[in-house]
Amino acid sequence: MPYVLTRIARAALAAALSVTIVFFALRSAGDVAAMLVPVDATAAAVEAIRAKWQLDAPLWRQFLTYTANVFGGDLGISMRNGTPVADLIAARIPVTLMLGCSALLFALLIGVPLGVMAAIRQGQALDRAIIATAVVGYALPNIFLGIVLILIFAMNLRWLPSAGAEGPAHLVLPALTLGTSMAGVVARFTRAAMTEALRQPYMDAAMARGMSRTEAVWYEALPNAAIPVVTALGFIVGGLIGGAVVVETLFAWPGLGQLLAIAVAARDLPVVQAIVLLTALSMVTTNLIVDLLYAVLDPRVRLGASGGAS
Amino acid sequence: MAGRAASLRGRWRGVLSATRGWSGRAPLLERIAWAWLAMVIVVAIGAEAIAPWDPQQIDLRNRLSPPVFFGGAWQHPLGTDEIGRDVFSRLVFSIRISLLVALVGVCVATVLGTFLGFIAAHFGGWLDDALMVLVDIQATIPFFVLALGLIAILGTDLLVFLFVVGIYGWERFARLARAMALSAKERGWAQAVRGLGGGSWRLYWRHILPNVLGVIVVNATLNFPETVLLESGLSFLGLGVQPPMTSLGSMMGDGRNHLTGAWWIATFPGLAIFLTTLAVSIVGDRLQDRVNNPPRP
Repeated sequence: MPYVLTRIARAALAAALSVTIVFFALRSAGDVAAMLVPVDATAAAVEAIRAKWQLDAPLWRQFLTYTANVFGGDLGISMRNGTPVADLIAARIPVTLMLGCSALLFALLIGVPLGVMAAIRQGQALDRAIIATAVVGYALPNIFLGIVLILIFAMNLRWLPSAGAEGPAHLVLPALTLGTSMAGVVARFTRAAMTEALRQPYMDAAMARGMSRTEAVWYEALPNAAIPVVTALGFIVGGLIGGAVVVETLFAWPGLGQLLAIAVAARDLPVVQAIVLLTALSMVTTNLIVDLLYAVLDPRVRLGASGGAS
Repeated sequence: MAGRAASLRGRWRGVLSATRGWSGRAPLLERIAWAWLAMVIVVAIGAEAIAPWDPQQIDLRNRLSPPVFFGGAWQHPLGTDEIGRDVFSRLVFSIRISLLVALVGVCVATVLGTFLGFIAAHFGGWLDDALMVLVDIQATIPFFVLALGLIAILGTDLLVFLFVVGIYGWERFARLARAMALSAKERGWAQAVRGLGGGSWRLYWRHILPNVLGVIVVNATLNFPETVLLESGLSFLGLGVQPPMTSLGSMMGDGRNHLTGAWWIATFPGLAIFLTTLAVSIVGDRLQDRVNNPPRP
């Protein structure tokens, strides 16, 4: 399957590029050894880091060591508290994933039906109302929505907690905040894809074969409209990762986003570079999954029949 | 000279026609959006005249005073913060800073992206490939995380911040400018300019740029609300605009610690961002419609 192989090769290349860029970004900033240890470290500690990361070796040796370290799970030591970065991050990955997946699920559960309904009722009042809602949802800043939700549901009604991650109730407000703007994006994408699908001749053909319009929408238009929506998934996940930094900070949700914000403020470079790298690698993986899903959904891509698909 | 000015006006008319015919025919919502934007711009320009107080002035006897209608006095119409600074005055100056940062950011991204897009289209070959790989990488990595990485290395200096905000979205302009320059190069008039002895600079600056500017300007409009959100997000985390300067994001960051007792500190700047991004989106969508389907005269 050449399509699948090309995509995997591309993802590997992108991953290698990400590692390279993060490596050189840090090297270009100054003395790496001084940046990788706490400010009050002894000269001996600096030398130890220099030896361990082979910072006196030529650049290409440094790069190989760095790559080997990264893929061996050694991401350095946090400057703030001396914990290995890998441990710090590993503890927070499930917390962030829980928030991210809930937000994604919310965005899809709200966005897809709204987009489909808008496309079916195109040009009518319902369509206009849904478009307006999607525009408002997209323009609504995460921080502002989060603050308003905290004021209403945590402060006034006292229904939900506004900070921490002790139980499922703590998940509701941050997931709503993070998911809402994405729901707007999903609704817009779905509406566009569905409008396009409804216009195709296979809809007429299906109804000529005796399908009702509802059946034709379910069995013909929806599967076809799913393809562009799946393609947009990479973009949506990217937006969620970016938004998570602010939302996690606002709700004191102890995930990677909050860790990143703290680490940048403290200029804890080993932690920052590890999270940036992790983000890049997870985006590469997401896009690879999207590409593979695309092949599963669209036989033209899988079989390489269409000349346009690459 | 008059003839030259007239011909220049003729060339740029394509850009102007995208914005023609607004008044009177625009739907109500769009007029409200324009009115809000006009008001925000007036506030940003005339901040000194509009703000009743110095935004830094501390009034310890009036700490956390609520807005009027919520038990506060007209002295501080939107209340005061934890050290008695006037929220309305801070809001006015924050609007100025946030708009200014976003404006600079959008301009830098537009110029940088368009220039690189033209370079890629003009030279082609490995340079084109390399630039397009960069564009793909930039489009893949969530910009907010990348921005934080840059700030961690370079610090929270204002110039660094403007640089980071300025990179945001360059790849979309580059992609757009490249595609449009490539298709323009195939047109008869571009080849005519060449045939008449026009150099590359002349071709791009005097002929291709005016032709693609409408689309670029619309893209810049759509980029603007996202840049405002980027600025406010970074400033909210305390990693953007630094005190004593204040932006809408940093006001929300300050106000977030006082949500229990003083909801007004964070809510008003949030509302200002929301209404502004919404207004620009409404206007930008309409602009895009106009450029894609120009009104028939």
